[in-house]
Amino acid sequence: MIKRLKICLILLVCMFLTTGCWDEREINDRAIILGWGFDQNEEGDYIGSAQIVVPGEVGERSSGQGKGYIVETATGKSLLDVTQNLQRKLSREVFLSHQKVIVIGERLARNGISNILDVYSREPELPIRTNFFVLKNGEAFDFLEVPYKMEDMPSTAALKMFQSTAGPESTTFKDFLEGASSEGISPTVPILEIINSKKEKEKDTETFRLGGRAIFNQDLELVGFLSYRESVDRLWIINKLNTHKLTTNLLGEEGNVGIMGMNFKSKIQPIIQNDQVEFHITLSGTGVVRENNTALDLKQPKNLQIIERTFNKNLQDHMISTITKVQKEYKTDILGFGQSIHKKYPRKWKIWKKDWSKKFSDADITVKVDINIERTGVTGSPLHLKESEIQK
Amino acid sequence: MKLLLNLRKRKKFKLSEMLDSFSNEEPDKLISSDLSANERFLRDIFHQCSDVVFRVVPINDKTRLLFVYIDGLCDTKPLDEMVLCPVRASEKKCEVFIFEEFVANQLRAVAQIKSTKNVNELINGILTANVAVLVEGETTALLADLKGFEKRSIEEPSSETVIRGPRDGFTETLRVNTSLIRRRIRSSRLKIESFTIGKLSKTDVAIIYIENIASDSVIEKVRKRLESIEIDGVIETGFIEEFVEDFPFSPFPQVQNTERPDIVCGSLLEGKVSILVDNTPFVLIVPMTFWSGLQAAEDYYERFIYVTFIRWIRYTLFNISLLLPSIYVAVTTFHPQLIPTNLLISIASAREDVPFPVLFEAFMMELMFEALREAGIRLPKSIGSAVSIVGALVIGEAAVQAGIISAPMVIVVAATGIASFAIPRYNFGTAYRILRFPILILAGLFGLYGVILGMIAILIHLVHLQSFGVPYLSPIAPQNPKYLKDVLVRAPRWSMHRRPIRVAGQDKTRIPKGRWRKN
Repeated sequence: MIKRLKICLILLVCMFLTTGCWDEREINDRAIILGWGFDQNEEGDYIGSAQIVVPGEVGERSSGQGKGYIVETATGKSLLDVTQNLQRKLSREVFLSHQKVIVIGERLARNGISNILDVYSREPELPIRTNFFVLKNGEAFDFLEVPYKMEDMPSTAALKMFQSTAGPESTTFKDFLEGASSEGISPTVPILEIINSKKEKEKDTETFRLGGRAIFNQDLELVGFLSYRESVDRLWIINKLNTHKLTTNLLGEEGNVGIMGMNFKSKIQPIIQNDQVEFHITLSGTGVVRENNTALDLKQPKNLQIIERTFNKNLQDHMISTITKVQKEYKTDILGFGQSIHKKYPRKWKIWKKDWSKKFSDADITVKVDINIERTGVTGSPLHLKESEIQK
Repeated sequence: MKLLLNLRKRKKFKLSEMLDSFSNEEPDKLISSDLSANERFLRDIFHQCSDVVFRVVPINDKTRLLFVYIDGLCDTKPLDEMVLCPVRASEKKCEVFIFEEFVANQLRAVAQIKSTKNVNELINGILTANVAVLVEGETTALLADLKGFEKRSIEEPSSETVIRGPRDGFTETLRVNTSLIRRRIRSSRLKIESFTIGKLSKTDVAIIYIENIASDSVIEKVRKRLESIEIDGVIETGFIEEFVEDFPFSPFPQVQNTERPDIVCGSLLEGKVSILVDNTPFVLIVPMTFWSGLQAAEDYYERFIYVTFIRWIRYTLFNISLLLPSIYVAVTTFHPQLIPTNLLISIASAREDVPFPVLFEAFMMELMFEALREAGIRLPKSIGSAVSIVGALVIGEAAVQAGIISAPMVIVVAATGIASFAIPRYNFGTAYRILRFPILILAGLFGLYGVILGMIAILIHLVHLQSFGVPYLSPIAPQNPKYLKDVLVRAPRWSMHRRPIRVAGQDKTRIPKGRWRKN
């Protein structure tokens, strides 16, 4: 009995003493960092800026005076170095696990971000699912300073903006790393822009909005930007577009028609002839007319066909211009064309993958868009029109 | 003479020692034929017992009657009516030799009669509310069972109230209690075995079970354990409970107690055995399982869908009552990653002014809560409400306003308190009240790792625990899928065909299968 007790005691002590790190720390001894910014200075050192919650200024007990957060910066040779230096400015321990967004300044992005990525998958305290943005025309530090009225913390606002517009695509570090490590597609990252909400150039009216996407090449250097509209084209091609509102002017008519597009699908067919690749891209989708500012009576099938045709034409033109921009200007395959070759012509891909970006920019591309309008809404023609004005 | 000499010597001793020595040394001492000697002897025994009444009634020159009884325990009215009046009336005619028989016959009409020659038996008889009748010249004494003491009437038990269900509760009188059970199960298979426990208190203890339905091994265990009890007095069933339970050092009760006859009868029908003790309304039921600690009487009176729902709420709440403060402490100090960001910021801002570590804060609040609870139980009702007002104001409002305690902690402790009240069996809930504290310490020292270790330790202990040979967690561990109808859900009554496994004896069928649908 005594022996058994002894063994139990030893096992019990082992259970408690071999647990590894002991990370007990009160919440109020942690500096909760919600947003993190990364920049690079001229010497090549990294500048980290952190948006840190000031718990005394938020919530019920606050006086309503402060903003609820502070922004602190530090420089260093790596993220760890930066946090180490940042810690010297903070009375509470840096706590990175609740980062909502990580914003990368444009200069750092252009210089390449491959040197700051590893820590996010290795350090246990850093969440790999943090969302990740590039700040167009600016330093990340500036972004963290921009106040945002609707949310307590501006970082949360950026994240929510992204979630409410981007549909199913997520751009966490995990997704970025997946994109960077896979062949035949280059990663892209959403853009944030600092804008002035009013005309006067006052500091108070500064706010930010979501832009299109930043394009990274295979070396993880920023090569260019897509506008918001172009990034929608990209989503459609890579089959991730859920719903999108599309508007177009009608040829020969006054006014425009807006549809709610859904069920977007895309199909990329590579065809190889004489060591030259050609891509046939078939894009389809359905639409519901939500806005009709023309005099057309949509109860007439022929009028619907006019709208469909116009949409197909316009979308096709836009799509081609987007793809050409990516091909010729950025020479970076962010649309997964390489992957489609990898699937269909695996042997060819092994030869081509080394200089894929050149092959990609040389490829011929044909686009076919097929929008099918299924419903026209409640009325045929706009209700305010007189009977004589309606085009049957 | 020798006897008297002995008695003289013993006079110096206290009554208890005297009784002891009686039962030990001279078990077979007989009643003498000399009434005066008997009276002297009894007066010696009961000296300084002001409630013992000696009534010497001379019948005629030769014959005298001696009545000995304890005032307040016996109803002497029938004695006067049935014995003394007729004796007085026919005093002259009576002969000594038939006198005893005459008295016996008269008494037999109103009470149980026992005759004895043994002094010890006589004394015991007097102490257990019998009237002893001794006749001049006879060596046999009569013991008439004329119990007549004040009883509390049957009331609704205050410790276990129901909305739907019978409102009668046990009283302090064993016979009333057995009658309440017998009224519900009118079968000759309902057995009531009597024991007397307690050297001084000589308390009546009864075990009740239904033959064949209760398992023989459990009955045998109960009998053996009761018989082996040596104690001076039994005041409450708790005295018995601590002697018969299997694991006295476990925080979990292995014997269920109740004030409600319907719960006892329900348990008897499941094959359990109950132990009744005189002078207390609380009745023990063995064997107890973990799950019966979470079942209330009403579970069987309300409709099963509602009851199943309530049971799940109860399971959730009792986990909350054990774990909520610990998880709060562990998560806020060790794993703030687990808290949603907005909640984390709220907690951080609420805690901003609090000078104490979370663990200390939690401990302080839990102690305050336990103190409030304890104070509320003991105080007279009129002061009790004052305590709760002071408690609510001081803890709920002032402490938060002053920034000594954070508001989330008050919410956590309050939620824990409410959750702990949802455990239907009071003594089962106390186990969790105690265990909350060690787990809280583990959480404060080792985070969720500590909480999990604590839970594993509790689980190992529970699996190991047995009550009268029945595994505490049965029928979940060891698992028996057919018998799960009364554990996680409460199946409809008509589908519970069997009595609980491992509890019931030979007769395991409650309801014949399939019958209920025929008409």
